[in-house]
Amino acid sequence: MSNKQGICLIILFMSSSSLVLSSASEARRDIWIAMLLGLAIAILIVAMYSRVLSRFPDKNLYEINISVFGRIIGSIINLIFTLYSFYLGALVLKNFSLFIGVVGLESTPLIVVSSAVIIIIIYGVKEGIEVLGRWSAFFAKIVFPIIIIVTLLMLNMVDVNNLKPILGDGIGPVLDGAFSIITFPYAELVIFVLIFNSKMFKGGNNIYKTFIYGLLLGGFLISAIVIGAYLAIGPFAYESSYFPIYSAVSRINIRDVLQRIEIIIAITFMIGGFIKISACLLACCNGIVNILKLKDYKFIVTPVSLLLLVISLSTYQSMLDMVTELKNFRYVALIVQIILPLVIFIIIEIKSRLSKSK
Amino acid sequence: MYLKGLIVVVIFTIIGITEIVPLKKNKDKKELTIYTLFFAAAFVLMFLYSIGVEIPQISKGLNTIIEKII
Repeated sequence: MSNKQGICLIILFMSSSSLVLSSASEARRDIWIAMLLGLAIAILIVAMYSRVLSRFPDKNLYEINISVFGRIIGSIINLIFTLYSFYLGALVLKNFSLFIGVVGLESTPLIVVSSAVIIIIIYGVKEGIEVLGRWSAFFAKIVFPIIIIVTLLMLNMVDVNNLKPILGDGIGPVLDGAFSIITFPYAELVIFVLIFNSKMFKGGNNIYKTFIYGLLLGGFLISAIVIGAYLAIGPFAYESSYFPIYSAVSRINIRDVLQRIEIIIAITFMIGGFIKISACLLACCNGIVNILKLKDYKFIVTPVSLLLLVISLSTYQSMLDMVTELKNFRYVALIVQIILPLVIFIIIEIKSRLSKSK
Repeated sequence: MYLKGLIVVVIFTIIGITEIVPLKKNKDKKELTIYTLFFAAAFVLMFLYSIGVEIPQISKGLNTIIEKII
């Protein structure tokens, strides 16, 4: 797998749900400060992920946990990561089918949309990360221009007064918004720590380059379109809409010629959503293989996908439910995305320094 | 409602036959056992869901735990 494919995977992963769901809306008029602050902190978090992976060149985080903490404690930590990736996959699948249900196939039952998506995902995951990487490198060429063009087309609706007054509500909402954007989607990149290992990439140990470039490019694209949408539709519409970017893009009207182009946001979400669910499923299958000491993950993909499908179907039934039921999910995300990797990172550093001093 | 249950049974039977037979030929008992366990869990939950039984939501459980901690 090349670096470019890894970067494209990360960017498509990041730009899936965050392209349609509202990000950092807690920061209100200071959304841009929250986005930049979140990105700056996320760089540190992702550098930490890369450092952990580069310490053990041919291992992913599951294998690192086993070799650092031993079989029993390592397996318990791995179980937490496995359950997290499974549940995250189920949530993304639910958002994916709800979004399609709301904007397109209104009368189609959710199970039809979810099942159709999961069939393709089973195929993709069975083919492996290399195929997903090549797929991402191809579709990234479609997604990047779409996001940039859509952001530019929103420029004529932009009202900079929507960002004023700066820090009008104090620093609290900014920190809240930054925390929100870190847990969704920046630090969700922990999923790739469960899949990648440093030796996976051609040309040596380029794990830093893959993670940091992926985060910066993805972060730039998300920040551009989110801030563009916020400036275009204003704080009230942004906060009250379930799909603020989608509704901002639906308002684009260039001299009555270019209008109703919101479908391209839906297409972008579908491309990114496919990668995100596949990555979560792959991370989950890797975890099961590691915990149960199996040789290959491919045979387990179908039953785990079916389980993911049914868990996805049985979660919240509407976007309104999503907001209320997932209000505390970011605390779970905080533990799995930041606290656990930080503890692992500190223990690895201490162990390596102790072994050096000996 | 029961027609949905029947559809689930048919689809899972097809998937089961196409995937379990090659696994059985490999004679790896561990893989077969693990596959069967996951597959059975998915089948039971999907069947219950299709006949209208409400499956407990993970998000509600998580909310309860986190609210107690906070």
